[in-house]
Amino acid sequence: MSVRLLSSDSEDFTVAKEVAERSMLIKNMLEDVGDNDNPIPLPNVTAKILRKVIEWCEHHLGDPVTNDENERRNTEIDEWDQKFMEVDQETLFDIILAANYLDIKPLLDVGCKTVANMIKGKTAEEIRKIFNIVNDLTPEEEAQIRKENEWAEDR
Amino acid sequence: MERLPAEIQLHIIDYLLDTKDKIELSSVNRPFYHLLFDTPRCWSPLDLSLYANQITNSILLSILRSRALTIVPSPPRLHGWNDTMDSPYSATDNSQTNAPQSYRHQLEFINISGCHLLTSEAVMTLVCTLPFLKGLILNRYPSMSAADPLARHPRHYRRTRLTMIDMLRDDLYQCRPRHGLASTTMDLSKKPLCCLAIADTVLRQILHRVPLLTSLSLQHQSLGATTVQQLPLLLPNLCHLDISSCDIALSSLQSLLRHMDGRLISLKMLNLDLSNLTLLCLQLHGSKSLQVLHLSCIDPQWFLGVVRVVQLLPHLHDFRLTRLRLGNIDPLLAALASHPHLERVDLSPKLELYPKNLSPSYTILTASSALGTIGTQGLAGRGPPATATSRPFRVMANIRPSSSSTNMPDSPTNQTSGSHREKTNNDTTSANYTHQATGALPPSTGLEATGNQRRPVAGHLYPAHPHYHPHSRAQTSHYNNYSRYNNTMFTRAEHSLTMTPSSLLLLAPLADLTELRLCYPSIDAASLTRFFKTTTASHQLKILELRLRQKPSPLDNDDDESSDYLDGLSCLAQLHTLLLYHVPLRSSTVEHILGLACLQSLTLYDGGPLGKLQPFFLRHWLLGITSLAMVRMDLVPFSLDTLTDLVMAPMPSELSQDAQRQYEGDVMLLKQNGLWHWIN
Repeated sequence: MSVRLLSSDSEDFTVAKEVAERSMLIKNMLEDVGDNDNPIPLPNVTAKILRKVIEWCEHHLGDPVTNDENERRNTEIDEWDQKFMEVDQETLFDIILAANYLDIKPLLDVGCKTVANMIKGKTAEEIRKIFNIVNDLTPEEEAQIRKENEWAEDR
Repeated sequence: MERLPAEIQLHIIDYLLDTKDKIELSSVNRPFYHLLFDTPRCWSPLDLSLYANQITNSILLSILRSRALTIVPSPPRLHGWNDTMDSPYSATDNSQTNAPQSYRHQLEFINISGCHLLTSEAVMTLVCTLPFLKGLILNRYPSMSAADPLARHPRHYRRTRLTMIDMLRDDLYQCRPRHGLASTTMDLSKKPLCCLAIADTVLRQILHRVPLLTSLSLQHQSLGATTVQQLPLLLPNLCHLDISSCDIALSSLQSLLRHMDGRLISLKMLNLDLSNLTLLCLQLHGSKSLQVLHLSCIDPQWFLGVVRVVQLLPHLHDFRLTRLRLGNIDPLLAALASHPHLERVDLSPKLELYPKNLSPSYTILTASSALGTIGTQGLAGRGPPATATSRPFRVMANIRPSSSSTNMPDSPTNQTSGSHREKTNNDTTSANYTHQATGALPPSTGLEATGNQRRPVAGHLYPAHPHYHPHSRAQTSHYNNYSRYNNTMFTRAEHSLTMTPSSLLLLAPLADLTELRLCYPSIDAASLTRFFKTTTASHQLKILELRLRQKPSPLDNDDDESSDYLDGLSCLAQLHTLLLYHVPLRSSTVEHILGLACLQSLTLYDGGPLGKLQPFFLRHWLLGITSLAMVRMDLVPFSLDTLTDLVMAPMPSELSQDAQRQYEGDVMLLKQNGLWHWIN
């Protein structure tokens, strides 16, 4: 059985029901509306991102669901997911936002872990550079933060 | 990243396990500063033990205050505290929503192990301020190792730099007084003056304040009978308990096990004496719930009892046994094999260092600091000169690996070349190779310090001794090696894990096995290869530590497959951490390790003349294994000129000036932003 999904830019996707049901949002909607040929509108997800999300759901179709917070936190990103997440930053954040909207926790985890890995071991300046963040702290505020956290300086 | 909503940003922060990463993120801009400092929860787990020498009472309070936590002062009279007083928020109390701070946003895990500058009052204030704590680590000493995945953080790798390469894990070697009269908890590798010692009465008051605790670690603390008796009552949700090296009476331990019946998921009790009754308690009261069990078999008579306990714990998935002195471990392996979901196995025999001839009092402290991680800060004014804690540094002067070493394969501009796979001509290289321990020098002195200029080095207790030869280990079950450090002589005693070589295959069907650590097993190369090549267990292995007592093969035996312990290594496709001690490294090893596509951390100690056989071995690994982020080696000679264009500063200038020499000292290389750095 298949389900039709309609992206925000009106592209129609037909996917297997079990693939679509990796999204808790879609699963709940399907339960609410029952069998229906009408496409499910996803106004917050573009076709480009929806295609990526569907690709991820198809690959992880049989994955066991884990509710153990620690396990989820400590599990490494597998090789396939690492390759899957090798995209530009804008796409990466769009995937994360889509995973959050569609309520696909494992995909959200992979996305957030990928961003966290980009931060690990970096200085504030390096993080700003990687994510193109403007520093709006005054030199006095920066000095204050440094002083507050002096205890954690590597010695 | 700024366009992500705060809830997702917090989710990302959840995956930042190192506190320093969060501090750096908070300094990026104002929104991140407010997000982090207004949400105490996102600082969990807060590991202050990493900064144990900096955390004073006022800094602790400032940390809590700056994270939007309202300080709740400790009760005014600690010693007048009445144990029967009600806890402010009991575990069954439904009025948590009325608490001064929201339960959901609380800091839940904190580690203040070894924060020796904290007073009891400060610790009490901490727990009064954080009544919803779920995890509390109050070990007397800071830990040398971190749990995975933090253990693979580049910053953690750096932190381990000062630790001796074969002491990278806690509770492996015991450093004990020569007279042997100390209690089992005495360990000279710990610094007695730099510890978080919590009095038994204070501990009871602390536990009274954190009724929601699910995880508690009290390593090396003293646990009185009353505290142990009250612990199950005060902490009804407790399921992870670490009382390793605690001073606890056998009867108290048994009582604890009885009262924690069916509640403990994880119990770590290394370096504690066992008895028949203790083992019976474990068997009866742990069988319903225990998944993690770490214990020591100090007396061989309890070994079969341990085996019986292992057999009767149906949920076991993490088992560690240390300090086994005698006995064949085949029955234990068979018992472990009966647990199809076993994930971690860590077996080590009794491994000890005995200092002797301790004339001046400071030598004990010096020796202690040599084993630890913190350096000399806590010993200021009492210890030896600062240079004494420098890392070992050995150079084999005037040795060139071979004429082929001048042909630089795999330069960054020519990485596609396959020439690095070619074998080295042994005849050519053997003439140039001499294995000699020329003494240990601190990195600061480098090559220039020779002869009388050499200074003693604390970081390396044994190899500097003139009679020491790393390749002359006896194949006995009990091995003694004498070595000298400063004015102190050390005896090193390492027992064996006696097993029938093929018995390792008993673990073959364990499809979930992710971590295997074996110290000094009596195993042959063929059995190990068979284990790697033919078993399901090997496919999932992510961490492998192997310490052998084998004599690294001489150059002319390089092709002898019967002594190649690493022949099946490339079958471990998921391996991310590999530690090899005294494992003979052959020419073929270069290829085997190159085949480990997920490898992130590689530690090698005393591997034999690999640099002679394959002068570019290290270069191949640094370039060929894309996931590799850390390499730590000692007593594995390699030619520095094979790395000069690959490893960024700060390679010690003394070395870079004479890069053609073979270097066999303790080296750590870290990859950051795609570039390799030499860590001094």
